[in-house]
Amino acid sequence: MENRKKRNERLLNRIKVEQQTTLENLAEFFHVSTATIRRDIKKLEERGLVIQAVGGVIRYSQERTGAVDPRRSNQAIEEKIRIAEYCTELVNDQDDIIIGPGTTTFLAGKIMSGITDKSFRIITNSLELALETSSVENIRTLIIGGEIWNKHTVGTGDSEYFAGCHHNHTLILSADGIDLEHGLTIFESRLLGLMKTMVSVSSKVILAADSSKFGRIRYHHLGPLEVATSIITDSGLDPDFEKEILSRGIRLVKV
Amino acid sequence: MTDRKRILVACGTAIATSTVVARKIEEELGRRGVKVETTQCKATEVPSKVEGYDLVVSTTMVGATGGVPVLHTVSFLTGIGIEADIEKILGYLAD
Repeated sequence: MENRKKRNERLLNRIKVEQQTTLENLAEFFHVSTATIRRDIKKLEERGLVIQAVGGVIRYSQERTGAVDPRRSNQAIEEKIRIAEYCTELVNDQDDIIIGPGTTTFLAGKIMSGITDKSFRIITNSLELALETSSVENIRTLIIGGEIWNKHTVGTGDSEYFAGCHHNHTLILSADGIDLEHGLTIFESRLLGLMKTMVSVSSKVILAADSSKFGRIRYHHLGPLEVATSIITDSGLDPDFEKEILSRGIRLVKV
Repeated sequence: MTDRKRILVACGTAIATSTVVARKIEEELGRRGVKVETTQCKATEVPSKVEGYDLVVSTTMVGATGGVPVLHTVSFLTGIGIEADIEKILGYLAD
């Protein structure tokens, strides 16, 4: 019997070719039991590669990979959405809002596309977010140029926009690590220049980060904690951090 | 006359979230030729508003719905798992 990994690969190819099929068809094709196929399909489904539709039909998933990493998307997702929702409430009419890279910031931008009673601009490096916000009439969307990587994000920020823009943006920022001594740090070196530029043109910097980010230090230094004018996080924030943040004159909101 | 199915879309606080979710559901179902009527509310309002709906879709936990099925999902915000959720919605609406 061929190993499972190899069969999964062939199974996926078969589903791609047939576009839609059933457990029975696949079992027949691979000369294995439907129970075996069902197990394999379940694994593929967990990875988001196939869909089991109504009536047992199995389809290849056409879903494009999102700006939200599926492996990380469940981490503190409820907190991230609450934080993102709060950010939405900070939007004023005629604001120029930069959405920085990150899951929580992406969610904030996404939820902002549901605001119907204000007109504002969104400036983003996420292709997926730009497609979303540009379909809404009251939002003007500006996408930052540069090379596309990771299928959905423009990483380099090689943008004319920043060269001549005003310095009164509202930035929704995230960081992978937030530390009192080492400040804001991120994993991805390719985003560092872009994020620093975003900070430099913003008069309001809203750090949207769930409490798991606090006390961590990552590879690349974005700036001191004071880069943030407000911090939006969840109720899991360590009390020592809270005291220190407030003593440094940064506005803190726990949602 | 059509017998359009009715979906109550709920979210935590900001009405913006349920606007995004409702828009996405209508768009995805529309692509499949299914027209539905959506209404938005806060999660806390669900028990008092749920009567007469075929399904509740919520990004956060909701209280009693008196037998109306509830789909608790964040896929319409994250973009991950939308297809699977649409299949679930179609399943609920078919019942």
